[in-house]
Amino acid sequence: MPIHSSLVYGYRHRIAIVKLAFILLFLWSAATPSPAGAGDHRDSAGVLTGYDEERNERILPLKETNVHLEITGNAVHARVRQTFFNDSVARLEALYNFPLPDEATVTDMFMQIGERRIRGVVQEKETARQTYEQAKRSGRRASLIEHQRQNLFETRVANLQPGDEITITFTYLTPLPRVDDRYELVFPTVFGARYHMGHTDDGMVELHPLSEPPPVQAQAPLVQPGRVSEAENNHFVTLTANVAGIPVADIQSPSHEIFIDHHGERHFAVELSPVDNLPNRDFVLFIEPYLDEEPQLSLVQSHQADGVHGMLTLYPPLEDVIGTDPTPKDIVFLVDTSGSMGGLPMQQAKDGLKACLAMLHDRDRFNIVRFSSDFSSYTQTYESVSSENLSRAHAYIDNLASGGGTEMQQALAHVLDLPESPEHLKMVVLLTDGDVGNENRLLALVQRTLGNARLFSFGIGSAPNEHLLKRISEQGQGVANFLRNNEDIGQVVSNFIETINTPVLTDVTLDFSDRAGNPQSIRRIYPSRIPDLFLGRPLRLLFQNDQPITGYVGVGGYLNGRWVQYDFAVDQGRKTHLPGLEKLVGSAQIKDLTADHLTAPYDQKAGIRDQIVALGLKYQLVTPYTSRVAVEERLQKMPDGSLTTVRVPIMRRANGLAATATNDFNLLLAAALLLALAAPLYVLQHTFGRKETTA
Amino acid sequence: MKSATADTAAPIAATTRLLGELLTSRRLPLGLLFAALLIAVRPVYHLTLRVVSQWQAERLWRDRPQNSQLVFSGDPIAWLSHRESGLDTLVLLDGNQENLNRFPCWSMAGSMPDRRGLKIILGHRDAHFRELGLMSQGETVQLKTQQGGQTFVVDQIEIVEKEQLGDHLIMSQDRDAVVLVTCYPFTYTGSAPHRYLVWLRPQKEPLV
Repeated sequence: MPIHSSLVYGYRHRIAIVKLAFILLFLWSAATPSPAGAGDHRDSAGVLTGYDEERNERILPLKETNVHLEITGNAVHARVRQTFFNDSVARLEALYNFPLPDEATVTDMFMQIGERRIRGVVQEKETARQTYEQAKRSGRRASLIEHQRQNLFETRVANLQPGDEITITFTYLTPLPRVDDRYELVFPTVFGARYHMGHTDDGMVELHPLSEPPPVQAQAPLVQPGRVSEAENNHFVTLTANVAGIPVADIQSPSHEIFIDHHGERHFAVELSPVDNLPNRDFVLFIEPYLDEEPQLSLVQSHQADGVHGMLTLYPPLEDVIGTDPTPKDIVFLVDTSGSMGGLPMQQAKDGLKACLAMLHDRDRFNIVRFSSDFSSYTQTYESVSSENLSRAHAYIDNLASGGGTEMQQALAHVLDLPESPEHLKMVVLLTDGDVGNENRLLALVQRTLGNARLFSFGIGSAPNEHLLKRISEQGQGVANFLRNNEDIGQVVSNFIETINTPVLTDVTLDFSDRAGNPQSIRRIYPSRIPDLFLGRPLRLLFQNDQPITGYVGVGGYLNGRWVQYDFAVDQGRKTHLPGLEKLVGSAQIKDLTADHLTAPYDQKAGIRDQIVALGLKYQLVTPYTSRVAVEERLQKMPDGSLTTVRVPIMRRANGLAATATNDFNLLLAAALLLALAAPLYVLQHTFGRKETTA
Repeated sequence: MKSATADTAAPIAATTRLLGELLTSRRLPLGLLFAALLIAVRPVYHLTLRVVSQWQAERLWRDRPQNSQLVFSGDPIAWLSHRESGLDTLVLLDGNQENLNRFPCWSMAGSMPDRRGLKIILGHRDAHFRELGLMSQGETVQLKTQQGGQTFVVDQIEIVEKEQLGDHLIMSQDRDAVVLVTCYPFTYTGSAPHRYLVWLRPQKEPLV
C-alpha cells in the first residue's frame, strides 16, 4: 500500500473516531434520563391544547359532567349529561373524548339549547359525519357522538357561540359486572395515553404477520387530547346512583368519597362527595349482596315484534368442589414495566406479584417476564416453587424498574410460545395498566396462539384499560381482575389464586326444556362460544328466541375430567323488567361480529361490516360504523370570525410525584473530566511538539 | 504462507499506530473541549435559569394572580422561608420538571393552599432545597400564601425509599401538615434512592 494512501486512511479514521466520540458523548448527554422524570414534562406540554389559536386564552368549554346511574339486579342504566359553555369571545367547536365502561351500549342522545331539545338519530358513520359537517358549515348548532376506538367515544359540538350553553345528554346501558361475591361498577372518567408504535396499527412490528389488512377501525389515527393538571381543570363531575332490587349488605367505593342514603328495603341512593369531583380517576362502586338471598338463576325476558330478547345469569354451585386437589400449573407472570406504570402502579404490581408467588403450590412452576420497549425473562422456561427460587424471584422483582414504551405484543407472543407440559396447566397472568393502542392485534395474537393455555389479567393503576383487559382475558379463557388503589392487595390476590386453584367447568354446554321436559331450541345466544366457568364468576348470556324460556335450563361441563350437569328451574313467578334489553342483545351481537371481523378473510370483512351497520341502525346504537347526530333545525345568523376547534383537555391521571433532583451535577462532572483529559493532552502535545500530517 | 503471529501482529500494529496518531492529533484536545462545552450547556442553562428566576422572584410574588381560583401551572402560589438555614424562596404551582428547574413547587398530588389536607412542596436537593438538610426539629418555618401567612414548626424529619414515597404520603392522616420533599442523600451522584421529608405542623397559638 502506498505511504500517502495509508496516511489518508489513518487521518480519515482519526477524524471518524473523534467524530464518533463526540456523537456518543452528545447522545449520552441528551439521552441520560433526568431523574426528575420526563413524563411530567410531557404531561405539562399537553396543557397547551387548552389554548385557542393565538395561544393567549384558556378555553375549556366542557364545564360539568353529570352522571346518574340506575342500578337494578342485572344492569346499569346510565344518563350522562355534558354541559358545554363558551365563556370566550370566539365561536367554538368543542371536541371531547371520553371512555365508557367496557360493555356500555349508547342507547340515546339529546342536545338541549335553551328550551329546545333535539333528539339525535343514528346514521352510518360517514353519513352522520356529513350531516354534522353540513350543519357546521351552515352555522347550525349540531352535536355528534362517535365511537372512536374500543371503549372510547367522542362528542363534538359545533357552533358554540360566545355565551352559549349546550347540554348533550346521552344514555347507555351495561350489564352489572359481578366479581366473586360482589358487584363491581366502574364509571371511567379518564383514559390512559394508549401507547403504540407509530400512529396506526399498521406500524406494529409483526411477529406473526396477519394474512389480511388490519380492521377498518384500527386504521384511524388515535388523536390524543391534552392533559390538564388539577389547578387548570375547570371540569367537574357530579354523580348519583340508585341501587334497587338487590339484597344489599354493603355499598362502598374504594376510589371516591361517597354519601349513602337508605330509602327503604332494597333501595339505596349514592352520591359522590362534592369535594371529590375531579375527573382524574375511575369511579368504582362495590355492592355486596346478601348471598343467601340471591337466586342461583336470574332470567329477564322481553317480548318484541321480532321475538323474545333475554338475559340469563347463572351461578353454578362450584363451591361444592372447593378443597379438591387442583391441577399443577405452569404460571408465567407477564409484568408491564413501561413508563406509564411508574410510581404507585409499579409498587402495586411488585406487591401483587410477590403475593401471587407466596400462594403457589409445591407442584406448580413459574416464570416472570417483564416488558416495556423490550422484554426479558427471569428464567428460560419454568422454575419449581422452592424457597431458594422464591427468594431469587423476590430479588428479581425488587430490581424491576419502570421506563420506556408498552410494546406488549412481542412479549405476549414469547410467553404464549413457552412450552406446554401434559402434567401442568399453563397459565399466563398479565399485570398491566393496559395503556396500549394496538388492542386488536393483541386480541388476534391471543386468539391464534393461546393453545390450551389460559390468560388472566390484573389491571393496575388509577384508570386501567378495562376494555382490553376484559377482552384479552375473555379471549384467553381466563378472567380479568383489577387492583384498585386503596384496595388490600393481599385479599385481591388471595381471591385470584382461589379462583385459579378451584377446578374450572370447561367445555360448557347449555340446554333448555319446557315445563313438560321437552327440549326447547334457542335462536341465538351471545357470546356464541360459551366461556369456561370459574368460582365466583357467574355465567351471563344474552339470547334471542321465538318463544320465551319457560321450563328448565341445564348447564353441563367437565369438572376435573368428570362430566357434571346442573339443572335450574325457571321461576315464572318472578317478573323482572329491564327496559332496553333488546339493545343489550343487539350490542352483544355486534360484539360477536366485531370479533369475527378481526379474523375474517379480507373479502368477507365488508359483509360483516354491513351486518354491524344494519344492527346499529335497527337497534339505534353507536357502533364503530354508526354514530348519533343531532342538528338544530333553525339557521343561525353567521357571526363574524372563523370557527375555532378546541379539543377539551382531560385531566392528568392521579399518579405519583415528580422526582426532586436534576442530572446537572453528573453532566458537569462529565464535562470537567473531559476538560481534565484535554488539558494534559494539549500540554503534552505542545511539549513534545509533534506536528500534524507530515508525510 | 503467513504465520499466525504475523496475522495477529498486523492489526495490533495498525491499532497502535491509529491510537498513537489519535493521541498526537491537535484536534483531540479541541474536540474534548468542544464536547465538554456541549455537555455543560444543559446544567449551565439550568443554573442561569435559577439565577434569573431568583432575581425575578420578588416581582413575580408581587404580581401574582389575586384570584386563588384562577391559578395555573407555573403561577407563584406561596413564599417559603426558614431563617436558620437561609431558605427564602418563591413556590410555584405544579411540580413538573419545567417549574422545578425554576423554584420549589406546590405539588398537585396534595391539597391546594385553600383546602384542608396534606400539602406537599417539592424541590431539587441540588438547588433550592439543599437547605432542608440544615433544618432541625422545633425550628419555625414561615409560609405565605394567597390566604395569608402562617407559621409552621418542623415536627419530624424522615427519610423514606423513593418507591415508598407515594404510599407514605397517602397513609398520612394529618390534614393540616405541610411536607417538604427532596431527594436524599444530598450529595449522591445519579438518581438518589431515598426521599428526605420535612414535616411541618401549624404552630399552636399560645393560650392567653
